[in-house]
Amino acid sequence: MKNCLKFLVCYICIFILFSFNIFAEEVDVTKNVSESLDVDSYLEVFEKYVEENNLEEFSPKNLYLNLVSGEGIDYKNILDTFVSNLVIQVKESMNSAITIFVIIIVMAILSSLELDKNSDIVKISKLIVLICVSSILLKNYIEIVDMFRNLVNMLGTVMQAVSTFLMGVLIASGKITSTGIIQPLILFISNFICVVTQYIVIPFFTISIVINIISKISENIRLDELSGMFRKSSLYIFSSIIAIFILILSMESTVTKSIDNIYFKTTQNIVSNAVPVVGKFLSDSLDTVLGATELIGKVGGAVALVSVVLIVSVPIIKLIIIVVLYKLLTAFSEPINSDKTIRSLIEGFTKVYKDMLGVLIGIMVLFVMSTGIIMGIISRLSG
Amino acid sequence: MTLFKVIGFGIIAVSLVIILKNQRPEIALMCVVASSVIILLFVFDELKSVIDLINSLMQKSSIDSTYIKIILKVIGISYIIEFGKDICKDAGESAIANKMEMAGKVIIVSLSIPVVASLIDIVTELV
Repeated sequence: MKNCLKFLVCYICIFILFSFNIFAEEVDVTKNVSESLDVDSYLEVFEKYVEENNLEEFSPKNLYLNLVSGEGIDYKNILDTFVSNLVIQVKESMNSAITIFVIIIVMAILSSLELDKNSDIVKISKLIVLICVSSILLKNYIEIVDMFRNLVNMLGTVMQAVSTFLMGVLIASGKITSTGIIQPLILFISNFICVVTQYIVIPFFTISIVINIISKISENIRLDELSGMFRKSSLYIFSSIIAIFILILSMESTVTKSIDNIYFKTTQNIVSNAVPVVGKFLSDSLDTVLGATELIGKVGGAVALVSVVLIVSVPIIKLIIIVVLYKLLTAFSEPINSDKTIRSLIEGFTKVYKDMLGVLIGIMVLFVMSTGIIMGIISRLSG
Repeated sequence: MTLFKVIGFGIIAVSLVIILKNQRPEIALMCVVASSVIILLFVFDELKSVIDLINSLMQKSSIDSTYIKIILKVIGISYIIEFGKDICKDAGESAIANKMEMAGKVIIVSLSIPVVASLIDIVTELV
């Protein structure tokens, strides 16, 4: 009996002694998941491009923090950034408008030059003016092509960064099948789009422009159809590639989602039922971690989408303004100048810019759709 | 005001030429040439205002002024050559008119060489 009492007292003492040191460690699951997915370096990619495109008012990091903390998207800030960007682009394009206005005046002088239409000297003068106008338009074209090329490269880099991040999220959540198939596909798309744009789309546009100029300079050589063919070919090639990739991506994601969902449910059931006593707690913990991962993945995707749409809006607005200005130039030049040559030259440039705009919007749609598909897989993590 | 000056001077010159044509045809021709040059000088001030406008627009825009300068020079040369050619034709000297046109072409081509070279450079850079 005495021994039993001694044992009981000792047991109570040990229990009290150790119970003082027991405490529940507060763990921020979201922070841990963010750190493990290296969200900071992911956001730095967007910060860099936002800064490069003079969109300082918008901060991807702030957007991320707002979304994670549940504050939601600050639409006012995004709208303000968009509007200020629009105003800057309109101001910059006014410079082009003045350039175009000068060209209209030159065209007016040229039309008044028509002393004798059959005079050789008038023909030579017209040719020189046409060459000058072509040079001015070509210089603008080079600037726009540079901007276009940089933007496509940037989108490629961003697409790779986003896919790497979102694939990290998928791996963290056990979506092995989806990751194994979609990641190589997206990395391939981003590289392939850059290569196609660099080596097919832009050269075809350039060839179309050059043929258009040759066609206008020479009265005997008519190559308008050939110019149009090159322009349309690049657009058809690009549209086909985008359509094929979106089709493959949608199909693959639909197939892999079922396999991954089966894996997920099986794992959850095994943990919940097979592990005695703590199985249910482990299963709940798994749910918590997966919930945090899903949150980070969705927020990261949303930040990518908003940032890319804002960054791409700069050249899109610029191209739209240029197309409108060139259209206005063509319209204004019609009553001033009866000669169709310069007008059709400008129309050729306008058509190329319109197609370039289409390609740019296509790349953006591809980016948004691929990000949306991956985000769709992430959102099915728990279900 | 310039318009009235030109019209008034033109009517006086025509009257003078009609009078002189029968009596002293060689002086009538000189009178035609002199009156044509004077009419051209009348409109120079008007032309200057157009060129000033283009210059001010060029300063505001990012256009390379060499293009506009060359265009203006080419247009000016074309006007002057056409003007001279018409006078020669009026005097019945088509041969000189043709040579004058040829000289104008050569001058325009030599003037436009930098523009053509620049276009070729741009196209080469693009392709």
